[in-house]
Amino acid sequence: MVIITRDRYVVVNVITDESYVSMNLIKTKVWQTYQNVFGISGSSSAGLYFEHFDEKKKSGIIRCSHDSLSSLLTVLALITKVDGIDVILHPIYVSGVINKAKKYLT
Amino acid sequence: MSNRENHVNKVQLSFESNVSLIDGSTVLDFIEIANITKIPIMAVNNLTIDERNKLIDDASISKFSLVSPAHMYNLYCDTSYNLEQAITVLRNHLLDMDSNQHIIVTRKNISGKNIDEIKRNLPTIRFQYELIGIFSETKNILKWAANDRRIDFFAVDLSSNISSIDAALCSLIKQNNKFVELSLASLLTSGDDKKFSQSLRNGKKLMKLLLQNRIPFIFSMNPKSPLHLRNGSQMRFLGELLGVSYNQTKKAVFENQFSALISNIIKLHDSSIFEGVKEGI
Repeated sequence: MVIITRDRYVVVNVITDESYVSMNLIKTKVWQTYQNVFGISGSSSAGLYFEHFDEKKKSGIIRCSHDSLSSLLTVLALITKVDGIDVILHPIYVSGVINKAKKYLT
Repeated sequence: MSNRENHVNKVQLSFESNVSLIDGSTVLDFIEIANITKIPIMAVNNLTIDERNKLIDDASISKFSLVSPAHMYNLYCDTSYNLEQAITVLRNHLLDMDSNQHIIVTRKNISGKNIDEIKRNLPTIRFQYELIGIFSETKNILKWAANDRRIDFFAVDLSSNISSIDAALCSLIKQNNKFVELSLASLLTSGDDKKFSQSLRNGKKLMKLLLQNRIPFIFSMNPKSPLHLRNGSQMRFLGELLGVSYNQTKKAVFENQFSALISNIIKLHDSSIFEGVKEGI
């Protein structure tokens, strides 16, 4: 039997006082926190993929499997600092279709 | 997509019940972040009703409009309304409220060394603050507080010792319709993995006890900095780490805090003579 994994696209808005935050550092931080909280096995089955990140708009789309959506949103809530800069990774929209998610990029 | 997954898109009212202004941040700094993260109500610690009213006047020149819950109650509720009716009316108003409008609630956390000291302070505090929480690690104080009508919340910090909360206290809290307030701040601010895991362990233990005894609980972020604010939906996801499912925390981020607030607003209202007794027109 073929099992198709259903994906979810989370539109994330980065709220910070700083004018610039490196999106690469945010990606690393999300990965690190996910591994800290749910382990390597958890993070491997989450299927995390950073689809689209715009440093100017400070927003992006993170893809994950539909089973791991709540874990990803927990991880986003846990992150407070990226490279010493205070941030909030605020999920603003969740969709199963990437084109719809792209409409919500600020 | 199922309703369970589409939670981020749905309207989730949030109530941050314990904002502390100790890090040099002002209420307006918090409001700015609360506006982005969609938190319409915030309770500020150690801010008296008079100070709050002055703050509301001062903030009239900013882009945000601040209101007091008492003002909203006077505007939208009739004094003949009972608690449930008032909650429904005000909740519906919150859903339609302008996104730049925020409600500021006053709150005081009391923590005395003994019962006498708290007894002495409470009568003055009651009329200066709309919500009162107690933070103590002494069992006797907590048991006494569970029977006191003026106290609304039992604040618990997950990084501290939680052994003072046991089944006997839970039973008293339930009998007196009070709430246990879990501060999730230590999950965000714990410096290392050891402290984080300790907070998780305490949280899981406490949640198990609360769920077993069916004690109403609330979540608060207790933010020291505006960027530590999290909205209701995010707090419910953090709650999942403590072993409580997303659906079980439905009332923990708004309903319980709001009902305690409205109940106190009715008590503090001019027309209230005694609990349940109002002045006739």
